[in-house]
Amino acid sequence: MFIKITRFYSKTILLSAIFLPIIFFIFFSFSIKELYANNTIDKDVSVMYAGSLVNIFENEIKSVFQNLTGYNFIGEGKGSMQISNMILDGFRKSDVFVSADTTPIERLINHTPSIANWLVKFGSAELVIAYNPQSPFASDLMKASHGEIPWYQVLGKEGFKFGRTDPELDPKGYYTVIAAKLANIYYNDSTIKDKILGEDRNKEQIFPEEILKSILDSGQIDATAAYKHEAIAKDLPYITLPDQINLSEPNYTNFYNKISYKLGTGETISGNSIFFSFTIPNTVENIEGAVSFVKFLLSENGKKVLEQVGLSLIKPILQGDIHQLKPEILSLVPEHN
Amino acid sequence: MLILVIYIIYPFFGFLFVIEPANLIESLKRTEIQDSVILSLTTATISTILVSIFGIPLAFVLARFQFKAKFLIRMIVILPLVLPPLASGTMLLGVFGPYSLLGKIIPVDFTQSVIGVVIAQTYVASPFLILPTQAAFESIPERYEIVARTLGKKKWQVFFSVYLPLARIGILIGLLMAWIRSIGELGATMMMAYNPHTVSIQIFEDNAIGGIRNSVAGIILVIIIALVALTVFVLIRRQQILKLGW
Repeated sequence: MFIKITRFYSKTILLSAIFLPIIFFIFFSFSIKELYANNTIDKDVSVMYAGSLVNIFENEIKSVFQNLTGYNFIGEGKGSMQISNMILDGFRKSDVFVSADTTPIERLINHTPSIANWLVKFGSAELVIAYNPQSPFASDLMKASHGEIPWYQVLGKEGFKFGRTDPELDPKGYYTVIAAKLANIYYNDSTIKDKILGEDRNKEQIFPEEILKSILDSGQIDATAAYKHEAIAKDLPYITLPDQINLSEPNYTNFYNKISYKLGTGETISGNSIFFSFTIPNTVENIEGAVSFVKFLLSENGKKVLEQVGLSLIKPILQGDIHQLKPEILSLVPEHN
Repeated sequence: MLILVIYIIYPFFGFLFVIEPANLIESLKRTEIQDSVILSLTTATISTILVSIFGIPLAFVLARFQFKAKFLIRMIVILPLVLPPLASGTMLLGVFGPYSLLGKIIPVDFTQSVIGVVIAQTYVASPFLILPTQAAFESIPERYEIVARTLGKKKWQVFFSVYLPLARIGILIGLLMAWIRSIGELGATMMMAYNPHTVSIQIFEDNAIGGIRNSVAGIILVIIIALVALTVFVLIRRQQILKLGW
């Protein structure tokens, strides 16, 4: 009898030891969630943005947006394709996604079920070669920036170390490959791309966007492919490329289209003008905050900040399902295709 | 207490659901994965040897000698443990980067090379050897040294014949911890040598490109390495190594 009672109590204690903490944990989690729901979550706007915008968003946009609207800006910068993958995999639920190209958002729109319904192109970007002024090739790079010697000859020199982002993760990465192939056509020299870049995913040249600037500053590479606004924001000297190569000029779309890049997933990216775009994914948790941020980007205040840091703004163009767009955003987007 | 155990083990069960056997076998055949694992195993071993050559004598000095700067040196030794590895890597770039004094004087690629990987791992893993080794030396009663000295042993003989054998368990645990920490190193290595890819960087890149499913092979190999290390750890703890004639 005594042994039975002891066993009963041991079992009860053991089960309690297992389940009570779990019940407590679940209860605690819900309490925390409620607390956040009541107090702070409506104030936070999570924005995932292209890594090349990190300086602009964290140093400029964040403070102006917060001061004007009272929302907390929670930003995360990564390669746009990587952000697209993370949203597709359900690893992130951002309120706004600002991409360095339309393709990463189009993947969300074309996904079944769709994770986004529309995108708005709001800025264009120009590809340049940013370099470290301390590089042993700095004098040649400077001459190239003044047009005194061809830029591709300097970049193709023995011992020159070029850096870029991964074409599988970042639009700038695949646009760099496309631009180098366009240079082959433009200069009528089929060796330029191979001399400068080597293979499309040449491991020696590929670094994460987040550390590329440190890699350049510390002299591990001499130059990198960058957007013009990025080079200006990071205070780096740069070489401008002809419009036929820099992917900034919509008039050359037919020429850009001659080259494409095939992603590992099988998707093909055609050469095109680079457009910065944004969307509010369907997984949005703070729709009011997201709309407020998007309205800020398209407002005169937002435009002023973006232009100051060197981003070339365009008349906003809507792409996708117009009916899914909030009226207050639609009123700021004059064009639709 | 139980919650913490569940919390630690739960991700392993969650991970089981993303494993697709067919994909896994294909992924394991990828040369990048195989190369990255071989590189990590090799560099972690070199780093651990380097840490032990300099770290064991340092741990002994810190444990057995009294001197003015002892407190300061103890603090310095712990620094790599308390610093975020990315910060350590960034600071190492200042010393070994191509524009640094060393980088200019010595015509060797300290960054973006195997040497860079070893430098980063050695820096970050050093406290993991020094701290347990120091504790092991401190736990040995001083009278053993006195007896050995009375029997005519010289100081260096006492170190090799008394201290080292008695502290061997602590040293082995330290070596193992430093080795496994080197395998898992990411932040500092990323700054010093993103290329060639160690297994941690390969997992980071695979994950970025294709999500968790794309990085399964690397993660499984790291888990296998960790399980082997864990087994060795348990063996050391049970002093079975001693029975094997160490």
